[in-house]
Amino acid sequence: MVARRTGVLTAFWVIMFAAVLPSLVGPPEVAAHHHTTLCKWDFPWPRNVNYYLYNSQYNPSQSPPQFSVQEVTRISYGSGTWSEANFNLYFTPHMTSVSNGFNQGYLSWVHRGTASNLPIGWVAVTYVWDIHGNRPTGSHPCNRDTGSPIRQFDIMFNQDRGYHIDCLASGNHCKSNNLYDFHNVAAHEFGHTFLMDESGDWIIPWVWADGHGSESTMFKSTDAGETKKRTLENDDRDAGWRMYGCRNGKSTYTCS
Amino acid sequence: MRQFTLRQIVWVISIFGLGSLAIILGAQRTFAERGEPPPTAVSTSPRVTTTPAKVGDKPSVYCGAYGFVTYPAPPSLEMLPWVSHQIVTGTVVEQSEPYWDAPTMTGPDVETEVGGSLRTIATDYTIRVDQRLRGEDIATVTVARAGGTIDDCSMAYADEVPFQVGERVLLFLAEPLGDSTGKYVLATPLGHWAFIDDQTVVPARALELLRERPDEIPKDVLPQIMLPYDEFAGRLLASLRSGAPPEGEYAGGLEVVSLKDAPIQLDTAP
Repeated sequence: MVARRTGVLTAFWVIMFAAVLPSLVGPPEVAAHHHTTLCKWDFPWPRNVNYYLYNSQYNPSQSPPQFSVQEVTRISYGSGTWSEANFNLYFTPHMTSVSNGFNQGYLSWVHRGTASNLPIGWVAVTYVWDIHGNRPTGSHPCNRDTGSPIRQFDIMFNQDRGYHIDCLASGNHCKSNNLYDFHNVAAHEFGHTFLMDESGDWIIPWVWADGHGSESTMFKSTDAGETKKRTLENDDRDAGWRMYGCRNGKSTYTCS
Repeated sequence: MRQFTLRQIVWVISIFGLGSLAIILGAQRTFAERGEPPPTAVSTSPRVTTTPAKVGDKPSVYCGAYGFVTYPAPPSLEMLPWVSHQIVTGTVVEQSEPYWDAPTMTGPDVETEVGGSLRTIATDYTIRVDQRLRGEDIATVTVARAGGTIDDCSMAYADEVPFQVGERVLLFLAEPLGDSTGKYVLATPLGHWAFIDDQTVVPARALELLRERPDEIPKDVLPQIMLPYDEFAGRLLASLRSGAPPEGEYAGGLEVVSLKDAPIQLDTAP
């Protein structure tokens, strides 16, 4: 009788342990080397993020001169890099005047400009806001689940850097002339628009360029003539999926 | 064929019932620990906030923004001094009040349409120089850095580590800004190194990692990040004394500064 009871109790605890263990470990997550936050664009997903690009045709008197139609097209390929990644966020570009864009609710924009106190040579910068206009970290945690999703972004290309519309098709021209590929740079910056941090935590690039990320779109630095950021690596996809899940119309965080 | 007693059946049902309950509770706790509600809480009643932020009420549209900057990078230690106009060690002795920088762009419609000023915030720091390796003969240098807080408007950038007053630093600086203020900016995001003791420097961007998450740094990498200053300075000067950047090496998209424009200046500041 005692032995039977002991056996039943042992079976009970074995089953309990086997049942509880997976839930303690948590739902499966894809591996990602990016530092991602839980800051996300608003649910429901799939979500379309509209943005507008400053175009020199619409805004001829702006300083610095803004993008040509051809340049706008190449930059929009950068957002397309993520739109095609099959997770719950995609971008729709609008080439329009400022007033039209703003009145239509396109709060996010892409333009040329300057931020003169950044370390020299910066290529582009992406600013991100949450819905309350707060810095979406620290004392203002950005979390769509608590009503503070990401709301808007501003991507600024350094007006003092040279760019090219297609470095891939121009041989060594870009590298020789210190020109950056619009599509390549834009793809990286659009990754930041959902607060995805850089991959590859290089501290000193020649000492510790984390091998995980050096080929990825979200790798920290870029070179003139570089085009490898145009296409996502698994590292980039994993980070996006970790935040948004695959595009299944649900709120899942992981791909199934 | 074995017959199961009612008692045995009750046992089995109880075990599976308790197991299922444990799975549900465990999942709840897991999501709570992650700061995430379980997915059902979202899918049944998603909270969609449509109220626009009142950026128009703020002095700058950039208030509250968090910035991620993309940089080119020097590809080697030997190239680092060649992309710098001024290399000095010194102590941060003063920090200015943050101020509004120039607008990021201008135009007749822009600021009214986007709902506020397009100015970002910057902060100046004064560094008392104690050793010069390259550049002008200066005893103090003012370095402008992006970021800061004015009233309730705050701007910050990922990976931009602000100076701390009292901090001893090794700086790689670009030529002074062309706005007659004589202020410098960093030549590269790798332009800010901090002394962690009298003889050891580390890139400022590694400080947080070293202090808070040192286990994430591979053991073989650590000695290459925490560098003896004398040895480090020796390698920088050796590269400059060779007369030219490493042959055939791409400068990482940064401008190479000739020795004519910024000579070696190895001395101690008065």
